[in-house]
Amino acid sequence: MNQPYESTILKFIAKNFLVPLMVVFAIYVLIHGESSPGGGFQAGAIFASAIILVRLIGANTQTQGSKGLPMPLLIIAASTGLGIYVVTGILAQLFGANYLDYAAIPLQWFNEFAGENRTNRAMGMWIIELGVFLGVASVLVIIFDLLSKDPEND
Amino acid sequence: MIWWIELLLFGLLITSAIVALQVKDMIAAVASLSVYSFLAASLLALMGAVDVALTEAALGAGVTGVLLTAAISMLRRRSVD
Repeated sequence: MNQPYESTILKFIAKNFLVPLMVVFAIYVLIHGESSPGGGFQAGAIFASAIILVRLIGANTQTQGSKGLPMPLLIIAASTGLGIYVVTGILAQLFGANYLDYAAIPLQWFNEFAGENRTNRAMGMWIIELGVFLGVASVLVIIFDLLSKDPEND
Repeated sequence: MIWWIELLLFGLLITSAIVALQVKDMIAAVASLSVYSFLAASLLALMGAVDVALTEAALGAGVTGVLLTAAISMLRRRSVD
């Protein structure tokens, strides 16, 4: 890609206002996913947009040498997301229900820990959405990294 | 009083789709496609499908434009001279 311009007002606004707002909004959409519009997929897309925006404005050129999140870490995060999904489904089977029937997983200890009153199904849905969030966010960043790689330097 | 807003959005939607198909410059086509996605997201939000609208605005108008622009920047255009 071309060299980014240095110290424009657009870059300043994007780095100091847009990226924190997008990260906070992604976490909000993720946490309130089961009761309001949004969910793991939307939160992952917004979070990946924030990371891609950081890479577009070249904010990580200040940290010499490192290129932000490296590719092996992203692949591990994507696999972890898929693993959370599959393990939650199989865990429901181990407790005697169907695959992904997460009302059977006993999660009442988390209610006492967090001081909330959620059903098992809501908590299982939240865990599933956490896996979807990790998978979608890291796969979108992986696609952008593979596309924006300099083809001459391979 | 909301029907003429929807009519205006539908008109702009079809116009941006035709512009994205007809324009020669690829970057301009990607920009027009992003406009199309954002108008589609606005229409979906007006129809009450906020979940789909959120996905369309985040993916269609945000990430897809960046990914298509990165893909275009990988293409080499050779001139004949």
